[in-house]
Amino acid sequence: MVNPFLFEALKCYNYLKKSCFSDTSIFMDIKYTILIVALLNFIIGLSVLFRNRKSDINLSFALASFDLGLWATSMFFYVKPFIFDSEVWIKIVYLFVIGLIVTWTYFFKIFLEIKDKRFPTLISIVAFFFIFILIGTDYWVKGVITKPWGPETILGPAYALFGVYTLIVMMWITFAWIKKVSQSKGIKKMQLVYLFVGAFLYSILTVIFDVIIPLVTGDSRFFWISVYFSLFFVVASAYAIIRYRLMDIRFVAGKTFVYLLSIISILIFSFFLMFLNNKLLVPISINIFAPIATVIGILLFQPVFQFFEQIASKYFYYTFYSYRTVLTDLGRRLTQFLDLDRLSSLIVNTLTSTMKLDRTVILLREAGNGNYRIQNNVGFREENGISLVKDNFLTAWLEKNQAPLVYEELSLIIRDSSSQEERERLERIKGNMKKIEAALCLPLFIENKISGMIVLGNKISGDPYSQQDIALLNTLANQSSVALQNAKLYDQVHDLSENLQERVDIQTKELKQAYEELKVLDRAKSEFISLASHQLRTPLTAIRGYVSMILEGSYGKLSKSASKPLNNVLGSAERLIRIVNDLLNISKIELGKMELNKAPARVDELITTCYEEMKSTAEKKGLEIIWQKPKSRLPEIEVDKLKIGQVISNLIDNAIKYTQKGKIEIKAEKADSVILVSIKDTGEGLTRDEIRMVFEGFTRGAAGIAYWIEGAGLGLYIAKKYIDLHNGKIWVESEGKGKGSAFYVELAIK
Amino acid sequence: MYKILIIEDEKLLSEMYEEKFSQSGFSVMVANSAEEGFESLKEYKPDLILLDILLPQENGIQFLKRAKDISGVSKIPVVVFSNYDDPETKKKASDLGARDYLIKTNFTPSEIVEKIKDFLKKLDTSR
Repeated sequence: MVNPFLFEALKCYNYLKKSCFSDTSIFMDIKYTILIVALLNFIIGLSVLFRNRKSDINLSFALASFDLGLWATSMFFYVKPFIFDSEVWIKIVYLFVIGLIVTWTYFFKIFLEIKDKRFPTLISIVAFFFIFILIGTDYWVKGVITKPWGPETILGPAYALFGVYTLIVMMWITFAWIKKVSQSKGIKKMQLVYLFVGAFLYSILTVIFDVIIPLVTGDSRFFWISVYFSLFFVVASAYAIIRYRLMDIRFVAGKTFVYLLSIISILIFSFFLMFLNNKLLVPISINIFAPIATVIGILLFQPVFQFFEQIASKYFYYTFYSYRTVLTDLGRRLTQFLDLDRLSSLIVNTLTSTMKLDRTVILLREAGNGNYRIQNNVGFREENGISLVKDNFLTAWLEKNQAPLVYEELSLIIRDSSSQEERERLERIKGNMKKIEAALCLPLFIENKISGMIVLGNKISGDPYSQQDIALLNTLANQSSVALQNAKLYDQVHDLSENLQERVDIQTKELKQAYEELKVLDRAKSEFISLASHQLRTPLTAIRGYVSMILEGSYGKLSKSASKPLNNVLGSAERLIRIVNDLLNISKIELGKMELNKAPARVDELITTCYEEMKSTAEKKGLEIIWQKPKSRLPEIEVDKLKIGQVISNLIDNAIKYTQKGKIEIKAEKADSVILVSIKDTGEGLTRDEIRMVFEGFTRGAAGIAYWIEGAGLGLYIAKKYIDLHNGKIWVESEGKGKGSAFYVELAIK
Repeated sequence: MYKILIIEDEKLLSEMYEEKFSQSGFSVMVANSAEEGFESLKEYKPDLILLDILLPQENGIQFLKRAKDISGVSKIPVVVFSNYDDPETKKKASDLGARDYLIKTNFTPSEIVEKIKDFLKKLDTSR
């Protein structure tokens, strides 16, 4: 990359070389650059003015730089006369020099906040005296003679007087400056330093070229060069006025030093090459030599620059780089911890000790409510640390700007803010920052959202935060926010796992408790059932027992008329007993207490037993009952004989009960891996709803009871439960009311 | 003539069974509690004990447990007859040596007498 400075330097070199070693016409051309300087002065003056037209500082600065621009312009016409001759132009030049003294005085009066108006007023009055001498007499400018390189002015005694006048003004400014600088700190101090550096460079170089060189060599041909040096002052001052955040002066000085040394080295080297060229028998023509030297210069610049840069970073701006190293180092160390407390104290301590701060605090934002919480604090009063961020505007502002907020810059930001509301809010933040003595709010971002902030106090030295400081702090903030976020997440996961364990423990305990309660309830239910069974059955046993004994004649012969109602009593008691039995069975099933007493049995044998028992009942009713035994013996299967027997007798009993005429057919057969029992009747049959509901108990609540087939009891519900316990199937088929029904039971062979 | 001991706290039922068994030619002794039962057994040596389960203080199961440790009593066959119809209790009773577990309400007194007669006859023939 071709450095523009280098390019300019080489151009200058060529002009200089040509003006020194060859013809003088080029010497005139270079003077056109004076117009560029003049233009730059105008532009800078205007831009500062338009930055803030209401500010006295900006206005006075603009006046001073316009004056400088006009001075440079007239200087150009002095060396290259136009319309008027040089004698008129030199008077105009000095007119603007007088103007310069006045505008500078006012600029410094305002900038250094000097209240006393007497001195500037006096200076202005005296200025009119000098203007009179300059224009009206020849005590200042005696005349202009033309030398080969241009015009030269013959000065009178008034010029010496003007020199004294200028010296007084400069001394006044210097003393005021020293006084001000000792009272200031922060950005103001930095501005003053810039102003001083600019003014010093301008003054010293002007003195060298306009006073020392002419005096020593008796040659004032370089008089006009001092115009260029005005830029030092104008640029430095404008920078100090406009920028919120100034570059560390050491850094600027270091960089300038590096550039100057690099350019000078290249120039020396080029002169050396030229010297060697001249020593050759046949020297290379300047037209060929100059481009070669330029290329060599360009190629050499980068390594030379780097070389000086290294030296400078080692010695010149050493302090700056040393804490940069510390902070970079911190960035690396941030990744070593996952503990939030250790991490935050590392950040706070490193910042405080390296940048020599009076206080530092890390505030972290709670995930839920967005409130800030003090994570680590050195030097801030706790309650004040939080008051700063109670105002949500700060968070919003930082999120919007994605940049740190510097207290020193706040007045400038407020000045430049267009919204009245924003200005008020910022004023409040400024007040808060002042109250807690905070100098800088460094936001910590996670995905553009503020996760916290580091609030820094002032540097103990009173130095402001420089642009480099803030760039470093920004980098550090990025690293810190990631590290802090990781630590926070780690903490949360850690807490969560602890929390989880705690909750699991609590829930286990609760479950245990619930289980215990259930066990108690279960026991209570069982006890209730046993109690109920006992309470209901005991009187029923007595009724049934006594009535049966009366009927058997245990208490003497019974008259025929008495035996019939007593038989009814017995029947009713038995029916009641069956209902109680059913209820008890159901509760047992629902409590899971029903157990199967499985043993190998042949279903056809179980059917035969039931058939034998119930045949007479059916026949008494005039029904045909057919038990169609299987052709081959059925295989033995594992069943609870009692329960399967109960199911079959229940089905046969129902068939008899609901069939008024016709027949009942019982079948059992082996089909594949199941035994299928069917009991068909020619009885009442079932509606579709009844088919759906017939195996339902009262588990379905009121609706179930509503469909409870009158007199069927809970037999079918229990039958289904028993068959379910055997992993079998039970179902009913019927073509409708009055069309008979067929019950099927299917039991697996293995 | 067979001798039986009926342990039954419900007066209404114990009287009924006593009457039926007596009519059927048994020698019957009734105890209203487990404790009374043990008292009676000190002198009275029945061929069989009809034992209710839900008894005041000590229940039927506890009776069976204690009976096992008393020589002369442990050998007497016990048939449980109770309206308490619980699989666990049934199993316990059977484990403790009860020969049968009859649900009172499912049988008339004469049916019970017949069952006991059959049982004792079988016992006699197997001796």
